[in-house]
Order: sequence, then structure tokens, then C-alpha cells
Amino acid sequence: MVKAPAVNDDLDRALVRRYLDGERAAGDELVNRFHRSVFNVALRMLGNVQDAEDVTQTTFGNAFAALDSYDPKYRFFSWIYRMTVNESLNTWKRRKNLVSLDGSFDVPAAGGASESEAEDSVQRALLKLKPDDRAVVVLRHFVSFSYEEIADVLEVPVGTVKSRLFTARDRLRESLVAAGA
Amino acid sequence: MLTPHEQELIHREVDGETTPQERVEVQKLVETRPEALALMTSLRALDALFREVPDRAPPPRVMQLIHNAMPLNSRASPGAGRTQGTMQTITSWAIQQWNGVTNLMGESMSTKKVLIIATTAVAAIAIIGQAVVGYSPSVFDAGTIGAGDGMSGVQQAGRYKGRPMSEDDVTLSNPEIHALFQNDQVLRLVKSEVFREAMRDNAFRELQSSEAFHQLMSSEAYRLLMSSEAYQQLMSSEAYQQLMSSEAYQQLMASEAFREVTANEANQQLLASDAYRAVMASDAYRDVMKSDAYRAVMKNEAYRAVMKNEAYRAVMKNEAYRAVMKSDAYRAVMKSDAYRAVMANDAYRQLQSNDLFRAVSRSQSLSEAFLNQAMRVQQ
Repeated sequence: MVKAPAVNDDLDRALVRRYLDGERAAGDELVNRFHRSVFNVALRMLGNVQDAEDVTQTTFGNAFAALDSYDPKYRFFSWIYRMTVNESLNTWKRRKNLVSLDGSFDVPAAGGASESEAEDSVQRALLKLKPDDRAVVVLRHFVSFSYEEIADVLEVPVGTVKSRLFTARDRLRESLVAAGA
Repeated sequence: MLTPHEQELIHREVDGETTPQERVEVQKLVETRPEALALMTSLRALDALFREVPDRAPPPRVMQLIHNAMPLNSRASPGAGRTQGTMQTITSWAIQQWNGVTNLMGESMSTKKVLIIATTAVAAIAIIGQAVVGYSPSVFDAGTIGAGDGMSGVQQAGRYKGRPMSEDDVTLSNPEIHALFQNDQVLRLVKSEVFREAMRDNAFRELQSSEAFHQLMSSEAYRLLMSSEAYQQLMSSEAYQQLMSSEAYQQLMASEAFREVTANEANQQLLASDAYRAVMASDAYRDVMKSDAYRAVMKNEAYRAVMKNEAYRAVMKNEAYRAVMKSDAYRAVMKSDAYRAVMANDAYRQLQSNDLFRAVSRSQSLSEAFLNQAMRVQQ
């Protein structure tokens, strides 16, 4: 489970404002708040560490380049995760002909064997989902977003979020059962 | 068979998205309908499985790359463009590294480091080569380095262009330069075939003849960096010498992707370029990053001082420096076998720690003395 930063819109807006006013440390704090969860979202979306690194880097690069145009009436976390998901989807499209759905991802094992097995099983099942459905699952289960927050990030109705999530879960359960997980 | 509404209720219950009334409804369903209990159990198990998946820490270099991509905001410093911001960002980030954030330096950062080191190496070879091979690269033509003694550099260089110098001609009166040419390492280097090959190398000559290279060599920022104590110490460090002579470093410098990056970097398109990614993914780059020599340089106090050095920052902002980086001639030098051979030459490596060699290769005054002496020889 990703340790996503607690949603704190006031803090994020303040950090953006301070950064735009020239306080570099505020930009650092924004990065510190979100870089880990952004990386993990990209990793689960793509199942590839190198791609996740690229997406993370590109997302923040794009975010800071466009921060001048950021509208504080919108939530920063929605903005940054939307960029992450979109960049992940773009990367997925570019790589889809190269990525084998039956296991060419390279998520490294960390810790005990059971952790690695769970990670392998989940990642393989995730990669079998349609990218749009995968995004919903990742935001729900790895970032613990509510339906409304997911809808905000993906800019789709809450009903669409629920539909995608429930359908995706059914497929995940089928995949995991088939894989013996 | 559960209705779609009943299934949704159970999903929402698992997600904590039900109202108190709906929770009661779900509870009744689970208690009275085996299929509801089965779905609930299955979804709980799925959720538990997701929770077993660990949170991954991104590699340290990701953080560094993010910082490298973070421009200083233009609103904060209206006069500063993205270029300046990026340079400052990189430098300040480097300083943070030394404060113990991580021992592994960022990749973009290191790209810039090897650039300045490589440029310096080219300059050092150029100056020492002047004495032996005797061709007249126009790095000395326009006068800034050679200017002095009431004679413009152009005039001095013009006089110097008379004929190739032989070893016997180098009877330098300046004690430091004289001593330099008494040094076995200098003689070993300048007599070596690899060095002469480098001097004959068209790419090398073109680079030295380029206006951009000349401007860099004659820039105040470059001179200040070359003469800084920190830089001198770095040049003489064992770690630096090992890095310079390592196969991985040389392969990196010779790689097409790296050269593309140097050009793109000059255009401030680094982070978005395919070439940059190619460098990041190259075996040579990763080998350099993993090498003990590189890590030793990164931890080197002198190196850290250079990174904080104002002159270094000024060089990195220097238009001439950037122009050199993107010049075809520089690229050609970086990939030339002759250059690589000199870098790997034992004598050259040993010279890096020779005070006199370093003094000649970085000092404006000694460069002038060297040229003046050379011209006297011709007279």
C-alpha cells in the first residue's frame, strides 16, 4: 500500500504559492510530499521500474514547468496524479507492443518471499486490466482515494469510477484465482 | 443471484463508501445471502492482497532528476531565464547531496560534471601539445590568452605561427615552464605516439580552432575555475585520475548518446531529449555511476568545493562553454580514439597530479609566459 501524503489542499496551495513567489524550499517540499506516491502509482500502472522512474521525472518536470498556469481553485493532488496517470497511459501506449502481458515487468523483490509473491501476483493481474480500469484500481487500492477523489483525478463521473472499479475487481479476482493466488 | 444494486452495495461497503443505513442493509445481505457473503469475503481478500504489496521507495536518482527538472520560478527572478534556473538548480542540488542526502549523485548532475572535466582535459592537452607538435591552433590566435607585454595576442600568435617547434627548441626561460619540460612525465607524454596522434587529429585541431572553444578558454570564469584551489586539488586526486582513465568513463565520453546530450544540454532541452534518456540507460553511464572511482570523486572534498565554486557556476552558465559542448568539433574529439588514448595514457594521468603541469594548463599567466617563451625561441 502506497503511503500517499494526507490530502491537505491548503498546505499544497500554500506551497505552490510560495514556490511561485520564489521560495525554492516550497518546491522541494511539494516534491517530497508527492514523489514517492507518484512513483508508486506509475510503477503499478506500468509494472516496470525504469518506466516508473521516467514517468515520475516527466510528471514533475511537466508540473513545475506548468506551475505558473496552475489554478489554485483546483486541488493540487488531483492535478499531479492526473499528470501521473496520463503520463503512465502515454508510456503504456508507447510500450504496449513491447510489454508482454504474461510477465515482462521488473518490479524488484523487497523483503520476504510472501511479499514478493503477493506483489508479483497483483502486478500481473493489474497488467491484464484495461489501462483505464487499472488507473481506477491503482488510485483506489494503492493511494486509498475515495470514489470522488478518483473521479476528480481522472475527470470522469463518480458513476464511471464505480463501474470501472467493480468491473476491474471482478477481472482481478478471476485472474488471481486462475493464477492460484 | 445478487442484483447489480446489491453487488454495488457490497463493493462500496468494502471501500468504506456506504452510509449508515446502507451498512445495515449490507449486513443483512451478508447474513442472509450466501452469495453476498462470498462476494464480501472475496473482495476483502482482494483488498488484503493489495495491502500486502509493499510501498516502493523510488531510487535516489529519481529524486535528483526531479530536482534537476525543477526550474527556479521566473516570477521570483524576472531576469533569470529557465537556463539560469536550471543551472542554479543543479548546483544547489549538488550542494544538498554533500549534506548527506545520498551518496549517489544525480545523473544529470554528473553529466555536467564530466563535461567540465572533459573540457578541461582538452584544454590541458591543447596547451601542452602546443609546445611539442607546434601547430598553431587558433585558441591562441585572438589574443586573450596570449595578450600582454604590449603586444596583442593576435600579433603574438601570428609571430608564433612560423614553424613547428622541436623538442630542442623548448628552452624556456621561465623557471616553472622550464621545470615542466624537465619533468619526465611531461616528456613521456609529449613523446608518446598517442599524444602526437591526438595533436594530429583533425577533430582536435578543429575544436581548438573554433571560436567557441577560444572564447571558453579565454573567459574569466573558466580561468577562475582553473586556478581555484579546489579545482587544483580535484585534478590531483587519485579518485579523479582513476575516473578519467576508466574504460567506462571513456566509453561514455565516446558514445553517440552522450554527445547528443551535450548538445541538447546546451540548448536546455536535456531532460526532454531522447538522447538524455539514452545516456541514462547506457551501460557506460551506469558503469561510471557504479564505479568506485566515480563515487570517490563524488565524495571528494575538493570536488565538493568545486561544485560550490562561483567560478564553476559561472562556467556552467557561460555561453561559450555551451557553444563548445554543442560544437561538432567537440563531439568529434570526444569520440576520437586519439583523445581516449591520451586520457588513458599513464603519463597523462600522472601529470594530472603534477603541480607544474596543472599550473601551465590552467593559468593565464603561465600560458602567456609559455607563449612568450615560445615566440622568443622563434626569434
